[in-house]
Amino acid sequence: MHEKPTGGLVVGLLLLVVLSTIACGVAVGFAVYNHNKSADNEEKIEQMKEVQSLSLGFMWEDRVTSMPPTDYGEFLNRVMEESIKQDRNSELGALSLKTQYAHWMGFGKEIVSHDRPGPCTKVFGADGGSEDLVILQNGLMFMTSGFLHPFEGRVLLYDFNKPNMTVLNVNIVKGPDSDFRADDFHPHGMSSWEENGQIYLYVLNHAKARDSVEMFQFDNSTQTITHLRNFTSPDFNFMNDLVMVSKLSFFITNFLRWRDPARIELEIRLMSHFGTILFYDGTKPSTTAATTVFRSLSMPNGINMSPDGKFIYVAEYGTMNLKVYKRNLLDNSLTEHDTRNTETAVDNIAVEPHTGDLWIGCHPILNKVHDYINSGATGISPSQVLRVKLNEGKIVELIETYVNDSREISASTSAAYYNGKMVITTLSDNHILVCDAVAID
Amino acid sequence: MPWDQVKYFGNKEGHGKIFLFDFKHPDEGVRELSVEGDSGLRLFPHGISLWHNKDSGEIFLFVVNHSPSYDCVEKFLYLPKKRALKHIKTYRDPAFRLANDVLATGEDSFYFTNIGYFHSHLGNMLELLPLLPFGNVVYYDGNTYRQVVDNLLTPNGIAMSLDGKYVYLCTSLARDLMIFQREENGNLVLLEEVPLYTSLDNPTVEHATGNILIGTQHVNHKMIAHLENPLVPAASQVLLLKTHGSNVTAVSELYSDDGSSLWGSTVASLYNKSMLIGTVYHKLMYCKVNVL
Repeated sequence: MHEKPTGGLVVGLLLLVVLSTIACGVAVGFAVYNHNKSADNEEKIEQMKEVQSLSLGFMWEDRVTSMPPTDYGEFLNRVMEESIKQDRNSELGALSLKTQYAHWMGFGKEIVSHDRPGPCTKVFGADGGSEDLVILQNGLMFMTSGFLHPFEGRVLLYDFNKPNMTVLNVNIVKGPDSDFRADDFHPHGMSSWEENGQIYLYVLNHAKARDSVEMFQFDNSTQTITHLRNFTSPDFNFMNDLVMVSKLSFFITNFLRWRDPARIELEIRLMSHFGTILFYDGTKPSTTAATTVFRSLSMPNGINMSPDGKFIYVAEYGTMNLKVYKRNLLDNSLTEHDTRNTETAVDNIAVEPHTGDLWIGCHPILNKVHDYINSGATGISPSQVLRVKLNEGKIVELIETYVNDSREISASTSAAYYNGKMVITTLSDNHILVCDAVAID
Repeated sequence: MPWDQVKYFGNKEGHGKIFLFDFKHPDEGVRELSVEGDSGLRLFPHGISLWHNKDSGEIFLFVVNHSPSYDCVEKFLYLPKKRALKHIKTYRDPAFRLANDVLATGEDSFYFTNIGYFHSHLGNMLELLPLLPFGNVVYYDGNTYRQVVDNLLTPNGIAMSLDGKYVYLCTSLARDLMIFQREENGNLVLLEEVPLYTSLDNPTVEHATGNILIGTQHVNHKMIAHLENPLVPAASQVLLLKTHGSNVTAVSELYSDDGSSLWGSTVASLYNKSMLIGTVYHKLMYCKVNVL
């Protein structure tokens, strides 16, 4: 006998139909939502690439697109926001990014004259370059070498008391607690500290994992440096230079936010302001040692301190500004005291202890030094030295003491004055230049 | 410039002057040379050149003179005992357009530069805005005026090497030093154009070495504003070019200033480790040069 379907079965079927419709709907909706989201991202990134290309006039390079799309989409957004917010070199602030970039990079700028403060001699032995220098009171000058690939990281020595000697390599010895690795040593900026007859050297190392500051002690009798320890911090990005304020504390410049070549190139091309100045207290553990004392700088490069410790000098590479900060001796905070546009890419600053004058190594044509770095030190890059006179932390005069189109010395990064001589060190020339500083007042 | 004459002197009897400076007695400063002869002469000078007659010992000065309607060259004889100049002759010809500098090559011959074609302020502006190369160099051989170089953009100062073989021409907006070979008949053949990336004004040749000293302007916009209003500061620069024959072997910047000390340098002269820098409206600067 055939019975009619019960109400329950109908309800059940209906429920099944309704539920499956809902389930399908949800499934389809989910799929559609996901599809739109990734399409949105792709489209957004394509749009941004176009905007970037148009505004910068550059061909978009493949290696930049190899970054995961969501990641660099976010990055681009942030960079563009920051760039628009910041007030650059005030006279050029009204110009488009492309024009500002062309001006900063020195396209169309030429070095025509060659000027020296006196007769100059090349001193060889600085293979791998001599990016930064420190001069001790006793006339010993240490330099960092091997900033560019494929040169090995070294510390070099030149003795002003023995001017006929060449530049020598300083042997590095490991101390008892040292974890120093010679194959992970890529030095950049350096500073020194003299206390109780002891000489300490501090070298910024672009180690593979994270930037760190390596601390060495110099032994005059053996002419070697012993690696004692290092300082590092999660706040260290791509650092540049440091200046010691005590045996274990220093100010350090955070040059770039990113450490990999693709993002670095982007950061530079968009003239970003991600740079900061950190104060590092070496008595604290590495996780809490660093505090940010100044932020939103455009690629702060060289940093140094006045002989009385009251002022901190920073070369702001991205704006070509020389900045003077007043230092609070109690809490090591910084306030802006003076700024001067130098119209040249200022690199490392040396402070002459008797006069307080600054001696700055500069790159007068930035596009040439960038090509020089990117091509592994081929080509030429002009050199320039600026001497700055100050009064109570206010910049009084900028004097161009040396300029050369690279024939005598190429890509000068640091300069200093000692006992009647001016010395210039470079990115990767195999010599340094020592000149008699005759014609200076 | 001729339109400034009206602006600054108007209908009054103002006039320009010629000064003398003795490098051997620098503390005496500058002395004005009085002008004798031709009382109708109204001097509004621009470029200047000197011809020394080695046989007679006479020194002649050739000076470019502006007036609102025409430009010309005046010739003076220097009277050393009276510290005066005697006006000898006025050279006037339609070949003088907007004249700038003169280069004496004999007692009665010279080159001069026309920095532009139009003599009026408006004409000059319309000519320079699109950078029209309407300037030229003209040679007077004692009889006729003849154009020797054409199609130049703002040729400014002109000077000659010590042996008279080469002529140095500075261009302002074109920023080049042009080196010409001088021929018997006064023709100029271009040998080299040296780009210096700064506005060149007047060259002088150092007697001891034959090196060229040029008063230049590296911040153009400030100079233009300064020319309109002398109270606005302009930058100053002096370049030294070492020469060997007709080649420039080295360039050195002897003086550079953003306007804090000297405004608008146009010429510099070097004598025995001392340098005198001249300006358009501002002062003279006397420097000791210990870098050479």
